[in-house]
Amino acid sequence: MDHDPNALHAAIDEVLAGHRDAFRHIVREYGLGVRGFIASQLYHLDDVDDLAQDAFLAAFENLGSFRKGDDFGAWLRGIARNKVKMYFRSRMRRENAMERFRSEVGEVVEADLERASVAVEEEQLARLLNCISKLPDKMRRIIQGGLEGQKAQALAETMESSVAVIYVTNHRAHKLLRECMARKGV
Amino acid sequence: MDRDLQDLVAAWLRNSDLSAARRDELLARLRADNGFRREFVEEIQMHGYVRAAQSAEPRWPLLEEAMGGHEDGPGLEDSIMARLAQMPTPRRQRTLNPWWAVAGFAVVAVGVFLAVQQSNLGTKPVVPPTPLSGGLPVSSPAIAMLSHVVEAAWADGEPDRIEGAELPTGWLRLALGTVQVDLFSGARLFVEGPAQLELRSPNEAFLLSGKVACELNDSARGFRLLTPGLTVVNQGNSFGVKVSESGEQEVHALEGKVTIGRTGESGTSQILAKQARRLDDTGFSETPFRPEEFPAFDRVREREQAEAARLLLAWRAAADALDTDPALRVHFNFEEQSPLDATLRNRVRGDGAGSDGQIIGARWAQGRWPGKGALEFRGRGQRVLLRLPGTHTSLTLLAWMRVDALPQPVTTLLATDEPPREDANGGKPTPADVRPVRWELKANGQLGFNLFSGLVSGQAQWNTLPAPPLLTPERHGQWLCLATVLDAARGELTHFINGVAVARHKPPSGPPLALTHLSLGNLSVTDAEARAGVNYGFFGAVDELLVATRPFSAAELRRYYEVGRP
Repeated sequence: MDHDPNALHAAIDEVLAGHRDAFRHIVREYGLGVRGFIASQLYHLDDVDDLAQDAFLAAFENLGSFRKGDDFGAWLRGIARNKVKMYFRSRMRRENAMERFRSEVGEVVEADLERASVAVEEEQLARLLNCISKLPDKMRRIIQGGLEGQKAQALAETMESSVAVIYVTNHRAHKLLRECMARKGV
Repeated sequence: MDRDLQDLVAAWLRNSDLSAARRDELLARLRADNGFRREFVEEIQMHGYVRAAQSAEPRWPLLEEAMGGHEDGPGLEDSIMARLAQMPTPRRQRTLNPWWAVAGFAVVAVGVFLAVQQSNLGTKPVVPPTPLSGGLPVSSPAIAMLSHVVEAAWADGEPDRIEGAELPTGWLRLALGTVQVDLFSGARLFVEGPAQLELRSPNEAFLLSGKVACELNDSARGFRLLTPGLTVVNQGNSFGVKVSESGEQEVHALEGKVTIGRTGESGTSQILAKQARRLDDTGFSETPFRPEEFPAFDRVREREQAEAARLLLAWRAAADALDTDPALRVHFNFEEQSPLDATLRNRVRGDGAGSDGQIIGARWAQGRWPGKGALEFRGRGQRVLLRLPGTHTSLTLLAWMRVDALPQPVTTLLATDEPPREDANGGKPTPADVRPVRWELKANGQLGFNLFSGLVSGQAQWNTLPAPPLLTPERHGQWLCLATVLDAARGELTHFINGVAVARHKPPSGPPLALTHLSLGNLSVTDAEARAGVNYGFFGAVDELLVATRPFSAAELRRYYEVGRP
């Protein structure tokens, strides 16, 4: 993701000099990216926020170990990835086969997800909400409703459609969003 | 939408349960089918971004709780600031680890390098030449090797050590996974995360928390593993030690007997083979022998192979996708070839593509992962010859290679002929209106790109455009991604190591570049050079080479490095 390295380095220097208020800049710049990265792997939004919070606090504690010139987003995602792994590991002990399955899927796609995250620029993320607003009505309703848990069934009933159609429409909406995010001046 | 994709997304979003057979089926496809995996990742990534973007003001329950837990609490930033107020100010760490990433290293090296270069070469800095306030990293002598790293994640703030790293004294804080540490005394430690282990000397380590299995042979006799309450002295056998977060400690004699003692007390006792002792507040007691709880050589190897196979698959997908780039002229991926092949297959076909490579002397070897091919060069004579038609103004050269040694002043990576060398190379003339090039390494570890500028008294003259001396001996033996990009539109030449820009130059203007007759890994010497004992041969291995006639962006190179790092 594209961030201003000078502003980032200045913020890090200020935090390390004891001006912790400068950490606001880091949260503002990277908050959405980190939450999105975690949210792509976790179901409960509360858990996403907890882990994102943990990741930022760990980043603050370890800010002195970050090397200028390295990719700060990747460093932060590394911390977030650790948190997600810990989360899966702790749940696997007490959860069922589906939870273990999701954990395994997460491991298989881990490298691809990191690469995909590197490829998304900050300004593209900033365009996302605008892109959602431009979707056709049906797609927008599905995107805004989300498909987690029982939402897909509920949406299918409300829209008098089938769950399979809801998934296909959501898939097409994601493609449109990706195209829209890649366009400048949206 | 593919039925498998729909089922997997539904399962991922907790919208459906799957039978064990269906789960296995989907996992198998996810592992083997790169396109399927990519589509799934795109789905869940966009799903995550949409969720995050639409919940504009995230809930931060722990922070709010820490602040008093009011419903209409302050916004995200204020919440974090309140929580941070209770935490100590972080301090910059001084690392003693010689394995800091090239990226961080480059910042310092480029700063120093550019101070010299800017005055006479018209270069401009890639990064501001400001020194790191943490100071230059200091290398201390290595006492161990990080021989294997399996599904590991280092704890927050730890350097991202990679397999093959030399380890000095100091802490290893592992969050997840298993690593094998081979101490120079001969002691072999398998550490399973989460663990905190301090390497104190080739004969001593301190386990603060986590699990360690020690395999020792006669040469490692006398190795001691300390814990907060225990000293385990080994007499040439194997044992496992566990320190839980609650302070309980166990020692298991995996093979042969082990001598243990309480830290700070005199006297020792012995644990016989296949027995275990537990230490808590009341002292030692017997506990069931559970060898399966400790990391073992075979299990580590099994998981390591599975991880390598996964990385190889991911790289293959990216490499295949790259082959569709119309600007690509040469792509040797060293795949699907027999160890007896004398021809290196260029994956790029069609108009303007380079030729296959003719292997002279170089031997087939293993590349970045088991199952991935490479060619090994041992200096004398060995090379790969290829042809690339046309002339070019912009260029990207990228190679994944392992440099084993830089024993002579100049080592050739990829080079074209220049006039004095024509005879030595079979009399192939170079047109006067094009420039030969040399991509090479210097003995001090500089990656360089040289442009032929003419002949003076029969001697070839070159415009040299080097990077800082980064490929120093501690990086020998590692797989590195080296790239050089000539961007005619911007009038810039940039060197990259492991996806990081390490030097940028303004190359002198001149005729376009000729890559008609290329030699990988060596260059024929002239008579005079032969008499002087000059040799340009490369010592190391190459397992991927690409030549493109467009400048790759920094982001593209970074991504290709990330997908290919072993």
